[in-house]
Amino acid sequence: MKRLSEKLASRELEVQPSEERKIRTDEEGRLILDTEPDIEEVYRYFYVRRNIDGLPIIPPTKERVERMLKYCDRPANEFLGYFPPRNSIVTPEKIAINCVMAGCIPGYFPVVMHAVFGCIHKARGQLATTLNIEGIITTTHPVHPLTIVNGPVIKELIFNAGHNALGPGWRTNATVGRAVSLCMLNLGGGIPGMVSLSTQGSPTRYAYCIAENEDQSPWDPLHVRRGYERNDSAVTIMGLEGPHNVQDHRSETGEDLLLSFAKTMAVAGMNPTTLASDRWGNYLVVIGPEYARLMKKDGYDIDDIRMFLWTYARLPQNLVEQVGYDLSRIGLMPEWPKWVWNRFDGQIPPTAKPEYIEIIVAGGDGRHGQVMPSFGWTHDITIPLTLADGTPIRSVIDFLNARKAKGLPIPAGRAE
Amino acid sequence: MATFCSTSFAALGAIVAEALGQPDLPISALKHPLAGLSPADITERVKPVVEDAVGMLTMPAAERIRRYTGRRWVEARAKVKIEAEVGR
Repeated sequence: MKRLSEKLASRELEVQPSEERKIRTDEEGRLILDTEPDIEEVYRYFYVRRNIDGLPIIPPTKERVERMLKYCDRPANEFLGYFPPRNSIVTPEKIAINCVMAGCIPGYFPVVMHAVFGCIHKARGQLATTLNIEGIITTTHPVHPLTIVNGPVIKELIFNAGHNALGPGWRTNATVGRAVSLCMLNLGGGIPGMVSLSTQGSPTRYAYCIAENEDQSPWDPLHVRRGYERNDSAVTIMGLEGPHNVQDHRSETGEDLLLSFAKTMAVAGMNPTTLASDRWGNYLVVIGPEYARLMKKDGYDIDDIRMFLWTYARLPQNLVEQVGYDLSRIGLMPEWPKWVWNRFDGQIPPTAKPEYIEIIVAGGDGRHGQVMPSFGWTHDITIPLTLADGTPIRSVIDFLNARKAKGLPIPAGRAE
Repeated sequence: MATFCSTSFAALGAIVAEALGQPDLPISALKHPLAGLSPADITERVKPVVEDAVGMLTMPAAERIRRYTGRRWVEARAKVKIEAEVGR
């Protein structure tokens, strides 16, 4: 399949950059960026080809792309997989181009690449299993993959896990999240209005990345609960709506606080309520450190919180029917009626199982939390940051050392 | 083989078909929206594409390839318009 951008550019847009604009293309019309171009012209060039999110970019010059690969222990053109729904071949170099455009520094590259690992398939046309990125990109729902960062890379790369952890203000969170979004656009082909057909879209689609506030959490961090060491680093990708706030300045017990979370989760119109099944459909709950300490003091651990929320964040069946889900009419959706009727006596939980409610601690001081329902037909996936041979890393420097050991070129440039 | 999409999603369907290696997959577009229609309204909505569907399923392969391959990009480009002159 020819490049989407080339096809768009060659006929529809009829962009013919002139020499005085200092933009050159090769014989196939591809942009040549071996020298520093005019930044406004590059922005315009990529924008009219639908290669960016609408915001300005850093020009992906050859030198910058090579430097972005400094912390990659794989050849630039190594086959990594196919990025659906466009199914374009993913290589480190292609990810690096998007990282440069997003504003990443080279140290961020491994985090983005491992987040992309959670999105791609090894075989062309493979059916979605966990994340379902093809569904996320093409659905009318406003879902977007949230990248949750855990482990030592949080401090090493200065991810923000405190105040405004969901943005704005931190280059790491903003550009890593944006780079994943740009990969969905340029590798997955998720052009808004053409392939990405979300009815309204979402501001999270510019950049959606958070780090867990591990230092202030009274519980094991997410990646440790999933079987990794505390000094491992990992990314977890979840297909979620934008966050909805939970505010409770009055409760003095963990139980009362959790009831505020539960009743914020239990609203009609969320996808998991009607689309979740045994197979997938999760929910993320982000708990601020103050809340977390109070819950822990009152004896709540992660599994207790899950069970509490799963029990109290329920919608009565008659309300769900009232908002349009008449069971007699949607009998064609096989899983939904079964798990509602047989197990829950007409009280519909937010997910099929308590463990499908995931919990992280994030944010700074203040009594707020966030709840994020998923798209429903999606499940999260955790990818540990490892070298190409599977060795867990302790620092992104490990990638640089492995690159040197393999004799791959080490690009010159600023130390970042 | 052939498939149906509502008009709002026909271009997407064509692009995905192409990405999955079926660039000549015939797609017949039904007027959008379909959600919320009664069975009687659905029947009315389908009538215009029945003939189309029969044709898609019975035409020779060469004709199908000639007629459908490559058209999806024309449709997609027609759907997505963007001003080439940005910030001017």
